[in-house]
Amino acid sequence: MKNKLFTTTALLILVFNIILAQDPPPLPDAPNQGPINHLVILAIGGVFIALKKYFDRAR
Amino acid sequence: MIELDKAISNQLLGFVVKAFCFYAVWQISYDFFIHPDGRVDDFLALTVISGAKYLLSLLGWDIYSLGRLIYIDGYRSVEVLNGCNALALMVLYSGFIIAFNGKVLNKVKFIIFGVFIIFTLNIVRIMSFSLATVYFQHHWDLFHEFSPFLFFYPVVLFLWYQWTIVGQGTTPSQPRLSLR
Repeated sequence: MKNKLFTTTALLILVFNIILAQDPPPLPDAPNQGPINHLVILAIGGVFIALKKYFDRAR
Repeated sequence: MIELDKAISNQLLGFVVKAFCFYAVWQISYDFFIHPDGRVDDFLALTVISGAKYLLSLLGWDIYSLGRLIYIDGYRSVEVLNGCNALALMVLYSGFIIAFNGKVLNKVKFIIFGVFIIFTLNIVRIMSFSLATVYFQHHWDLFHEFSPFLFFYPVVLFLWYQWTIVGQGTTPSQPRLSLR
């Protein structure tokens, strides 16, 4: 009897848990994606900094 | 004079060769090991999302995340792909520091500092992307296109420039102010 009560209570808690669990709201549309672009421009900037430093040192 | 020119060209050549080798090794490691494994990319993307979500919820926004997606209820989501997690930028930054002359300990310190700054800026960038979906979704593509110029490039260039000064153990010359 005790065992049955325990099982029923556990099942009820489990079922209520599933019923009450809330998913996050659905996505309204396809996602925006934001990769970091133009790294080549940054690399060129880095080369210019290096060049400037080497030529400044030469002076 | 000729010896000086030779020294400069040797230093420049050293910089170019070191940088090339570093990026070649990185690209091979990434393509064959890091990308197929996926854990580094996942870790960076998910921590950036967690950080952005936490900070936006602190500011009172009703924000959710689902895997690599982050979204404010009722608005379009932002997906943090492998290209958005700033790993390539961190490597590019580190490559310059490694290739340029300087003490090893200083290089390690500067790399850790810079990578942390880039990581933090990326959290701010993803936050701003989420807010952009609310305030100007129509201009999202434009905002995204120029976001690196706004968030990353000035800071990275500044850090590189500082490294060319601090890394050599020299300080920038102070401007002389005089009232006479």
